[in-house]
Amino acid sequence: MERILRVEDLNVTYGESTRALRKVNFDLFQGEIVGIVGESGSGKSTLGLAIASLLALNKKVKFSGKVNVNGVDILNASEEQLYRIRGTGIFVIFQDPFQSLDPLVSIEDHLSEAYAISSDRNNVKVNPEQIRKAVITALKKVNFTNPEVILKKYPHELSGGQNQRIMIAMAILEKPKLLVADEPTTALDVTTQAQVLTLLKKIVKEEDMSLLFITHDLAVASMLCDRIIVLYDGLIQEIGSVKETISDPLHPYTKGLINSIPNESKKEGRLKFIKGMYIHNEVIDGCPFYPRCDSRKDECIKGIPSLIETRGRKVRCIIYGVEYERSDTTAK
Amino acid sequence: MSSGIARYIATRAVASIITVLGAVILTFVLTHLLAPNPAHIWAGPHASASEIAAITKEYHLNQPIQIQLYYYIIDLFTFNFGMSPFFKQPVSQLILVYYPRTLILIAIAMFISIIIGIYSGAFAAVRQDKFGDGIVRVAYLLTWSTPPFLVALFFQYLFSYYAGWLPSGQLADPSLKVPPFVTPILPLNAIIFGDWGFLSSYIVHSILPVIALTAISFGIITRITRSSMLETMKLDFIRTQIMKGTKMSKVVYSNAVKNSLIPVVTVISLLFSFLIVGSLVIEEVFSYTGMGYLVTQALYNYDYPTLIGSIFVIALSVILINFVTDVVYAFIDPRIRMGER
Amino acid sequence: MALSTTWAFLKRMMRNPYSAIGTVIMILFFGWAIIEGILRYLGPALGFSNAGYLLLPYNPFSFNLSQSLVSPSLSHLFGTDSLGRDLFSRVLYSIPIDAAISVIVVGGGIVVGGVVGLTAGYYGKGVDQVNMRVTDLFLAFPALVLAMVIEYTIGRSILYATISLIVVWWPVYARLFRSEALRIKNMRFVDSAILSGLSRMQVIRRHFVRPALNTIMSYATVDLGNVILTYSILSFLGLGIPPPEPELGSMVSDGLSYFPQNWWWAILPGVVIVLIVVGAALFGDGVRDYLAGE
Repeated sequence: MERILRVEDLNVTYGESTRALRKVNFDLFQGEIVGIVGESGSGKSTLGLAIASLLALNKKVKFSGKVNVNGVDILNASEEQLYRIRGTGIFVIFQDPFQSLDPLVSIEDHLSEAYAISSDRNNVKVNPEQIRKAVITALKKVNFTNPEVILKKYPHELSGGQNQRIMIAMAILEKPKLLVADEPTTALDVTTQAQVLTLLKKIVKEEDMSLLFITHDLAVASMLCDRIIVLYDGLIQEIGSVKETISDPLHPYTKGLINSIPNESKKEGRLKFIKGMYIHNEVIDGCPFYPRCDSRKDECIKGIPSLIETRGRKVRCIIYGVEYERSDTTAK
Repeated sequence: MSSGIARYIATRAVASIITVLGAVILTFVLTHLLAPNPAHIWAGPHASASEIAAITKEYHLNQPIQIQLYYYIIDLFTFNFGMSPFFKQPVSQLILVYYPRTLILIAIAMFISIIIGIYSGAFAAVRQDKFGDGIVRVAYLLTWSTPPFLVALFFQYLFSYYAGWLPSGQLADPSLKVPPFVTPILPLNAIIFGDWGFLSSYIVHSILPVIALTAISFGIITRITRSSMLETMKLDFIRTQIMKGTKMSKVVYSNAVKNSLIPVVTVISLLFSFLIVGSLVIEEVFSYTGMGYLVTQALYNYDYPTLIGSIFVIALSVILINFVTDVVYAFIDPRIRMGER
Repeated sequence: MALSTTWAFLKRMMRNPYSAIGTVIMILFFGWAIIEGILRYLGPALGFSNAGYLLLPYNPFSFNLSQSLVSPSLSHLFGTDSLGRDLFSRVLYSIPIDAAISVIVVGGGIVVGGVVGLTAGYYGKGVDQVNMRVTDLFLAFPALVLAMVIEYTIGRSILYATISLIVVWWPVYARLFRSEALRIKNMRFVDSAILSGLSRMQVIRRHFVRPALNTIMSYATVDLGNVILTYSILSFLGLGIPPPEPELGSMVSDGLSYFPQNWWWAILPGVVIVLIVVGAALFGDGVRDYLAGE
């Protein structure tokens, strides 16, 4: 299988002291849907921005490590290289559907521009009629029954779900190798959420894209993804296939997340939750989950546990072996 | 045109008309109630008792206040501002001669200001907190803080006395006769009479006032464009455009600038007010006979009818420009166009 | 403000070079205005009729035709005018008036605009409509032009000039206070303040007037400069204090006919205006950053 994305030793800090990501390593392969799950402050959105090459827009950000998308070293690429890979190489669907489209540009112009860019990259000459045809086809693929009407509209005239479908149509027109979706359904109501998720999954498979799906909602991730990466305080805590992770979570944090999903079949009467609260930048020498963990031991705070392989999966917890990260890479 | 935009324009028009009526009442209160002796100031300082009696009768100043107001409103809406005791001409005729001259200067200065302002504002925003941004900010701080007469003196010294490129003042070479009044637009009159000598002299003499007016006003546009660009650049759709693979220059100068223009449209009437005030003193420095000349002459010579007529017409212009920019605003922003805001 | 907070504030302002420049200019400007103002108005009361000239290099009113139109030098920093009066002394002499006008006009604008804007924002509906229509009406006239005509109508004097400026100055504050009031009204703490049994006046004073003033403070500081600028134009047009009282704007217009040969007469008083206005703008930005940082 072809590797689309490789993240190596990625560290990101905001300003002088605020750390967002620590030593993040993972791969994503062609056709795969990988979910990044974490609560707010876990660094999941920063990870999305880093992969989407948008980190440098914020001047206060410092980063090290490598992000390789399709053979391009994103963090060290020139502006020209980045321009070539954006759109047709990577594309991002953002969280707020009402803010992610230019309010002064009609839906038709938004989509036509996307198709024009991708045909230009592929050195295909297209006339306005062909563009219009492609745009209408894309709109039909994202379940608009009246594409001609939708084309004339402006973003504020559409609902949140419709705007997100426009974003997906944009992805269809550009056919990026890697699609990053940063909480694309969080702002939508539950029914619309399910529709958009189903559609997203269908399109990714049909158009042969790969998807990195960022969410705080483990239940949503389990519906959609092939693999799941659990992030806590900027550290990957667990990586595994959806099936194994849901049925047999390794990390105490993942267990907590799964227990707090409301589930009819578990007739326990009371919703479980993880005790305590995540406090950003609370200085802990060791496992960041230690203050909230049910099975904590003294070994947990002797250093940051390593991400170790066990039963063919990866987990960062001393229960599965007492091993620590070298302090120099994570001290930041 | 959707019904949304029609309704929007109608409400703005009603609001503008109410403001015009307010302006009439405000000037009435000033001239008929606040003025210690209305007949005296209408007639001018050197008027005789019989002249004052005539003025009192003509302006109905001995009648009850509501009758005075009635005649006042009728007069203003027929653009009958009375006779100028100083120029010995109807005020409306004077305004028709002098106001267009200033409007031409202001229109050109406004156009250049908006272009320079938008460009420099976008330029500064893209380089936020870097050297280029600093230069632009210092430039608009200085031009904003300098009284218009000093700006005029500076350019007069630089281009006229020092470099000798441009004449230091006047509407045109004083040895040339101003072409007869056919239309209110002076250069058009010169063209009608084929007076090319006057036309070219007029153009050359108008350059310095336009430069000075541009210099005092572009900072308003620069400042608002810069801050609105900085806000816009943070929005998600800018990131979407970047991720689509749109060229960075297009994202900045098309998507971001267009979205930043909406607040710029709203300061255009402010820009106009500012330029009117600036032209009063700038024309004084350049001895340019436009509206500034008319108003300052009226001021120095106790010519009250001319003064009131002038400020009423100026207020009308501001209200009209406000209305026009509101309409333009609606056409630029689809959210208003659809009647949603 | 307690002494220690004043000191902390000044230290903070000195950290940034721009706000430091603004602070120094403002301290010099108002410091001099207060000292000279006290000497001028308290001196005669205590029997020193010439106390106002005590700190000036020359008497700003005395003619010296043998020294007319002298270019700037160490003995006459800003040179002299056609009557041989020392321009630097005349500039220094004019400063207390400018300082007083700027503070009074901004203060008057805040009081009138505050009442109009806060009642509009607080009561909403009809009150809001009426107040804002009146505000818009005043904004339709270019401020300086309206002020000019008002002063012309009611009479030329320094008092009438100040009143005219307040009449055209309040609408901007009315707008600012209204939007502040609307912002505050939508916050939950106002409901809880009313529920906790505070009287309406107490709620308005504690939760509307004070926070709104805080936000408007930095704008008002910058605005001091705008008043000085506008007043200088009035005095340039001959609507300030009648001669021979010196004023920055009228000095420039008097010097016009001697420009460019005797450039200092028109230019140097003008440069002083620029310095004060720039100082107020930089100081105001500093105040904004300081208030934002708190």
